[in-house]
Amino acid sequence: MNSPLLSASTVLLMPLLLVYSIYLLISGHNSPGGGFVGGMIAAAAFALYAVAYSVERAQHALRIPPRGLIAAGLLIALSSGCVGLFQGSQFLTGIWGDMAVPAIGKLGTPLMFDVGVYTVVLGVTLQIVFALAEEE
Amino acid sequence: MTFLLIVIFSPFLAAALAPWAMRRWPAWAPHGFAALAAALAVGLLLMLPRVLGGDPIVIDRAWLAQFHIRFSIRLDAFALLMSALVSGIGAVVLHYSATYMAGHRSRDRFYLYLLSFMGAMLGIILADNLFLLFIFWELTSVTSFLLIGIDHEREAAREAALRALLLTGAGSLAMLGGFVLLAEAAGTGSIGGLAGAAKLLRESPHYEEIVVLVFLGAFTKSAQFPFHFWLPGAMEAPSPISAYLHSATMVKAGVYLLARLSPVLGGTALWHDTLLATGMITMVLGATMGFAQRDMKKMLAYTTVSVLGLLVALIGVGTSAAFKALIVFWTAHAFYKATLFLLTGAIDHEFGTRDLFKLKGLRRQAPLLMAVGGLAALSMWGFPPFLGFLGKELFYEVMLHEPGPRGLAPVVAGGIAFAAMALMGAAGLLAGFRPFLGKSDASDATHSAAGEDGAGHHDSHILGLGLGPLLLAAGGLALGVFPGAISTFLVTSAGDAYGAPISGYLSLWHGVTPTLMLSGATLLAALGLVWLWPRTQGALARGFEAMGLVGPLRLYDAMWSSLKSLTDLQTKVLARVFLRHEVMIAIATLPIMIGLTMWISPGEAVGEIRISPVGLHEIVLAVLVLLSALVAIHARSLPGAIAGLGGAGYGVALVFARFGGPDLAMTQFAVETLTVILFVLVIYRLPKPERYTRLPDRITSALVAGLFGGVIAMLTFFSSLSAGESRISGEFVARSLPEAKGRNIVNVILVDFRALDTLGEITVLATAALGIYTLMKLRPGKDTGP
Repeated sequence: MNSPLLSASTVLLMPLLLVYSIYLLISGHNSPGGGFVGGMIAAAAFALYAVAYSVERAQHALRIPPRGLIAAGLLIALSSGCVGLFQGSQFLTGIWGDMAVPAIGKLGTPLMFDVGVYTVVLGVTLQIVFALAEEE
Repeated sequence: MTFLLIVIFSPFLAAALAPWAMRRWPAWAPHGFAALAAALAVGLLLMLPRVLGGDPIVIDRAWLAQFHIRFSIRLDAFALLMSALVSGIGAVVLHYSATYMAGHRSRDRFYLYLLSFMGAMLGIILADNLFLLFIFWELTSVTSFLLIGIDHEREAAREAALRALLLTGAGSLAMLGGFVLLAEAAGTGSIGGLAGAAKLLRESPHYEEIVVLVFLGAFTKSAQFPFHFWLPGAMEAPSPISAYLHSATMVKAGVYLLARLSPVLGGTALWHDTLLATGMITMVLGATMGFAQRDMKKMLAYTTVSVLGLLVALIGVGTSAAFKALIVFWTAHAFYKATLFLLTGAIDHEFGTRDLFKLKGLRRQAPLLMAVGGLAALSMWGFPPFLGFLGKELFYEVMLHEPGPRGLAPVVAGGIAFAAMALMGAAGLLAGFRPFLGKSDASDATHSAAGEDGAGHHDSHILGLGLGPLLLAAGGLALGVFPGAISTFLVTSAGDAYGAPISGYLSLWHGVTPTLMLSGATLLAALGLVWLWPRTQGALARGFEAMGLVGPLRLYDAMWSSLKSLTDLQTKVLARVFLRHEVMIAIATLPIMIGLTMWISPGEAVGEIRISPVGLHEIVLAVLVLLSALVAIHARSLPGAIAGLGGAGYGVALVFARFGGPDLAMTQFAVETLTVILFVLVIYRLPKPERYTRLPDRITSALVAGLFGGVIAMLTFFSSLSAGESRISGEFVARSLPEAKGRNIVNVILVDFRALDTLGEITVLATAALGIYTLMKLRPGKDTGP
């Protein structure tokens, strides 16, 4: 789609959307947000890019193919559950570290799990968007 | 301790890295995998002194303890023997595959599956928890399916893979039911701990169900009659797979389970007689059908069925001598049968055929292979001093022992055993020796493509294909010559399976006994059968073909095709010409189900209807949503309809935001935005909007939509009356901050309290995305690309 207006605003919007999606992911444990909606917004950013420019450029900007993101996300979520196993608790028990990181807060497996959700949602949505947009 | 975790998990890790490693170092990666397997085998054997000292190695972690599910593994002598065989033969198979699979287009996936299988198989052997065992059991079925079907372009390979998966999958489902009953009745899921509950279990009202369900799992996996037919079909897999999964390891999993549970569930006529009868039938049937084959691989496959029957029959006999014979025969078979399958693959790979009538005089071209085949065939024939001879002796001893196994007269039992052993021995000689004898018919037998490169090409291949099997075959000889070296090991293993220590010692010479004479007669009879084979094979094969018309394979095929007709019918009823009909069915189903439930069990009203005052902005919101919906229905152009739909969605999101659901509102906004973007992407490809529907259609749609909206509104309305405050949400609120360290309860529920549900949901999402991708991209006839 050739629209200078859309292209220009996408360039401005995309970094904002991506930063916002990551903010939602990180702060989701204490205020509204979380991995699911964060992943959706990040996907929206790339989908917008695909509409404004082309699917190829959006795929290039993403770097990792969506299927890879899906697999990685599932793996991250699954491994976050295994941390508890190695600590002698049951699968998916939340394990928290003691150290607090500035701007993020305490690190723990629930955050890692949410990162997995974020990645899967991003991958799934973009997989569908790209497949639809490429279809001839 | 940690080493056992490495044993189970390192193959999976290697599997995950395999595709990448194969692209990076295609020549060396397979050898690296083989080295890993060999290291595991050596490491396991180093544990032998400790394990034989009566000190099994145990790891036990809680997993889902309330359901008796624990991550517990246990290494006793029996498990050590089996896991050393799995990793040792695995090393040989991986080394062999480096040559055999070179140039195969699915090589990367091949190693991924094969290494995963090895991890799963080690898991079955080491697991001390029924449910952990079940998980690994399923993993072996899945990897077996993928490996049988690795040449998925061929229909025969696909069919065989599916048949093996459906059959073993159905069996393992039954087995899972048995495991649940078993764990409930015994109060533990630990296999080691079950032995203490044996008496309790035999008196349990569910004993019969448990035994039958466990039998179904074990019999399908270990190809017992009448489930035997999937195994010969599995020969569609490449030869290293047949050697590894379908002769040496996976098909023994059923026997392994029966041996492990024998001290727990044994001691009744149901257990012992069923096993003995099934095993004997399978043994004779397998040996006879094997003798009727002309394809080397099929012949070996049927003799594997026969041996599996023999092992099951020995568990059925259930004496300490029977368990000793079980372990020795098992070990001997693992050595010689894997060798013969690898030999078959080597011959097929180099000379282009597996037809025993066409293979002649290969001794000139492949002397190394002849040595391999000869050593393995002698062991299978049961010639002294090979390990196979020892196994046969012990087996005969059990069968001839007065007063005979389970009341079967020794003459009858010995006769059946003799027939099966003679047929098996003949098959061994036919597969291991015959291709090398006689006059070479070079133009016919030599594969033309391989032949052009000359002898040097053959030699380099044959070293890669022959070295591993030669090691295995020589192992079978060495262990037979020096049985003392492994006597304690094998006898202790037998004791672990039997459930009580067994005394005794393995030796080659027992003096001139009836057993020895029967053994000698078997050798001669096998020779006679080898002479008879070219003269009778055709007639026998035709006979079995005629019997096959009413066999279990036919029944399976009939069930399979009726299942397919059923799904056809279902598709015809549900999926009509227009997509909107399907959507309508989906939308209509929910309110009908909910409405019926509300009608049948209305429940009691606890509270009273409270209607809070309606503010102006709420009215504005409602009007906005309604107007957007009307725009969506009446729009003349597609973009207009999409805008209307988006407007309605945003309105609903605003409602969420107004009533204290910021998370929900945000998600709704994101979903609506993405939906609009998706529509924009596809809009140019959609046909111009027309009036597709006539008035009656539109009235039906309106009714369904009205029903949906009405029922959902009623549900929301009444649920505030009847249920009162749900207790569970109060608990979540109270525990969110102190226990899960989060103030956003919605998120805490998603990623902590209900994380297992979320994990399931994202898995469903991922599967759906793959499904959509497959539907859109992999259409038949379309170039699918890499």
